[in-house]
Amino acid sequence: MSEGFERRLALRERFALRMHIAICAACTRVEKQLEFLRRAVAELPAAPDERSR
Amino acid sequence: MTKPAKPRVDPAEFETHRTALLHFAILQVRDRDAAADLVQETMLAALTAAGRFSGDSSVRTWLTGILRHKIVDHIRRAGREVSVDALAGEDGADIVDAMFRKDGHYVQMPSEWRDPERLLSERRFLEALELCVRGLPATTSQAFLMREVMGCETDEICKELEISSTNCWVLLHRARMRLRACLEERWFGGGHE
Repeated sequence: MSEGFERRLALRERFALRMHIAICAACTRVEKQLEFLRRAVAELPAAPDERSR
Repeated sequence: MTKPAKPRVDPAEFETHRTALLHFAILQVRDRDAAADLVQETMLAALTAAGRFSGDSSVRTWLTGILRHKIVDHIRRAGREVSVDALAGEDGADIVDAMFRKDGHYVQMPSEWRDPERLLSERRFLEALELCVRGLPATTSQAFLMREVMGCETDEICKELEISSTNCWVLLHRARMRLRACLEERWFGGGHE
């Protein structure tokens, strides 16, 4: 699943992954959470240094 | 006989990467002034070395590589050990492994995070997340931040860190799962919701 974050999966791999996630509630939940974490990390640093040098 | 043209990098482009580089440094180095200094040193080093840019990687990855080495040196000088081993000893049998049974299934259903989107603008949550990011072991942190903050392509990250692409993906996956587990502990499990 994490490889899906890292590279475009081949069509067959994507299909197999989708099938698994459709069945596996735990994986669906974690995948959503990992996607959220990706967006959250984009908001870091929490207190960015605004000074220009 | 003509030589093939060397890829040209326009030094004026370097400034467009400064903010991302600063974030990359801040998330690894405690002191924000030190982070800014390291980025400035990186810019100067890049200007000096611009003629030697080979074009094998993107400019962003190249700059990140220069900064990464300066950060490693900085942390080493500050007296903290930097793990050079990408996987063994970096992440140990631990918080991530404990989530799974031998057959690969989760030990228990991962808990639900109710309505997490609102947390994207909540400072205390972002601070907890930043603590979790800072807690990542060295090479894991570098790979993860190169991917998520710098947006480097995974194959470039593998090359820069000199690890195989399989190990690279495993490293990145474990980084995400580790962050998830950390936040479970620090935030979602603690009744903050």
